[in-house]
Amino acid sequence: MDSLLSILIWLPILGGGSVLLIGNDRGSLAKWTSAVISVLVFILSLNLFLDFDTSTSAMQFVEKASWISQFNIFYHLGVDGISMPLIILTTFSTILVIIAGWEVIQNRIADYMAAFLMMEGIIIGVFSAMDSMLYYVFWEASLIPMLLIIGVWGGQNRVYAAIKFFLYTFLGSVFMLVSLIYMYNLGGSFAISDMHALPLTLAQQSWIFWAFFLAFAVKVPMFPVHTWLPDAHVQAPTGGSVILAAIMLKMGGYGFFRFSLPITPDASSYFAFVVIVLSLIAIVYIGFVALVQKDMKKLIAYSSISHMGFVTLGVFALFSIMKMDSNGELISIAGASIESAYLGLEGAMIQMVSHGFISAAMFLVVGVLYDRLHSREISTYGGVVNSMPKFTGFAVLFAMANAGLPGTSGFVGEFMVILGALQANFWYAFLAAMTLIVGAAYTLWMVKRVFWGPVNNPEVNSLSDINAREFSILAILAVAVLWMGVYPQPVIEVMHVSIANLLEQALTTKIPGIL
Amino acid sequence: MLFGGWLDNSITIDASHQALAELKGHFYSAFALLTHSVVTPPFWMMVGGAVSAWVFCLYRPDWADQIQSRFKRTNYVLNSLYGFDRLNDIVFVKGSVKLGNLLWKISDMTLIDKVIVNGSAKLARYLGVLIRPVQTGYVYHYAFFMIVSLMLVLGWVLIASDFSFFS
Repeated sequence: MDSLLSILIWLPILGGGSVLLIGNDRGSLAKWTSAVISVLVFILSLNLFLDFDTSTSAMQFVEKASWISQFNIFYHLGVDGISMPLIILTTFSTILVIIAGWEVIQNRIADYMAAFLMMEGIIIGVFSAMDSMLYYVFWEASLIPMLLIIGVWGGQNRVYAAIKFFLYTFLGSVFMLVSLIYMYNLGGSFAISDMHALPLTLAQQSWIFWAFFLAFAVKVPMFPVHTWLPDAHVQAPTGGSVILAAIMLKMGGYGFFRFSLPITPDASSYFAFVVIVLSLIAIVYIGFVALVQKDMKKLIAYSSISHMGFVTLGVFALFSIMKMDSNGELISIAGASIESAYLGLEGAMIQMVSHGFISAAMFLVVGVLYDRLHSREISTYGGVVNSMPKFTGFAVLFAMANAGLPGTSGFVGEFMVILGALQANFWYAFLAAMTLIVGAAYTLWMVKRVFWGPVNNPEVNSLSDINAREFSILAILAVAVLWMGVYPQPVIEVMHVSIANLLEQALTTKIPGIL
Repeated sequence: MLFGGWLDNSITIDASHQALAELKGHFYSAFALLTHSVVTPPFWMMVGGAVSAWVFCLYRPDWADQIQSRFKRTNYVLNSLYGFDRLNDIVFVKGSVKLGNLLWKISDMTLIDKVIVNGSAKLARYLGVLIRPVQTGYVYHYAFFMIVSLMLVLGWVLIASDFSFFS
């Protein structure tokens, strides 16, 4: 299919438009139309996986058309092994949120469904754009539906949270725009591949690196620009939280892969230590902060920040593992093997996909409880297993995955990153491994207080177990979590050659004569 | 099971790792292992454990009470699992919760959110209030500020260029 990516982008966006036209008065039709579109987009997106050539790092499913010719801006799309899994994660998650909002959303149903469909198309655009201006347009556009989702269907303090989310992410992106324009002035092209090849001094790279860093660090989010996330999650409706955690945070991680490492390899190497320290702070510090949360959504939000710290750690630890010698050969630092560098980067990617499943599942679990008792407070619950045994089974599985239990997807990415980090520096690995203990502590403590123990609230006794719709959503996620935990090889295989190419780009200096 | 063909080809061992081959040299049969066990200390410790459990729980439970009252301190140490649970509770559990609260309330809520994020918004509002009186609506006031600003900028350019700007 020649225009598969365009179809994946524009089908949900135009579909969202048509759902808007159906109107809120015909909510049922709007829901069914949205569900059909999201399933169709997911099925179409599977073609990316099935027809993907794993033997090349070149962009595939490429589409190119002139867009703004005066400035050399193209409508240029393509995917590689890094972006393709994230696109499938996006289409997969969108089905879940549309079904999850089926009975829960009673207010402006068509608008709600349309916002998610449009968001899906826009985010696929972010992951498939090969022109930096196109990327930037999609990147900024993704703020609008999420702003509306939080601002319209959010909780009591939704306006504060929505504005905070918008300002934080917008502030970061502005710096990225400046650096993109700067590189256009240098090279005369907005093509991301041309920016990869752009010769830059260390000073130029440093400015560009920090500009990108601000944009991506806010999105991931990294310490200390993370405080928008707990507020946004707490106020967002369940579907909003799912998309925010499962997909939007990945836009930050993807940015490091697509922009920071290949465009500013020397600055990335030079400042890697700073990023690693911030990642370790995120992993450990945020883990302790998660421990004391009384609101389940806030706890999971903080846990997300901690888990995303593994992504940035895995990415930047590679500069402590490998470097390139004057002959262009990759050589190891302190006896580390090249596999360790792969482990870090591939672990970061696996962690992103896995976190997409687990965080989505955890937020849906909280959503199920919230739909029944309208409270996210841990103290409201206790002994839920007595009235909701099936639901508790799923919740405990996802909690275990969140704690990084072997056999679940949560273990694979973290284990790979820790193994990679161990080759870089023992203390990186030690501190990162700390989160397995702290993560287990806050997750299991929450499970204990919510699901086990005596029933403190009489309303808990009258809770009804999950219905078929909720069961099917959680079951699909459970399969995904276990599949990734037991057999992550297909995902690793898809990304391996692209990661090898990225590794070479990241370790190839742009400064002549530095070696 | 390991040497009797039970697992057949399910477990293969690299030729460079000879530990199991070494172990195989000491393995005759399951029955030989069973009979050999009666001359080893672990077997008699197991028997001793079973006998003492029978004595103290079924035959003379009052002996257990007497020992408990005579060796109170030892009983306390054993009952409290050498104090590790208490240490764990005080240092790790309560310590982690205190640390978490400290980091959340001081760093996240106060330093980042209150001072930096909301503080910068308040600063912008404060500066706006401070500067607002300058906007009098009189053109000659605006012209005055423009001229003074222009003079300052020109002065800065001249000084920065070491007065060579016009040469």
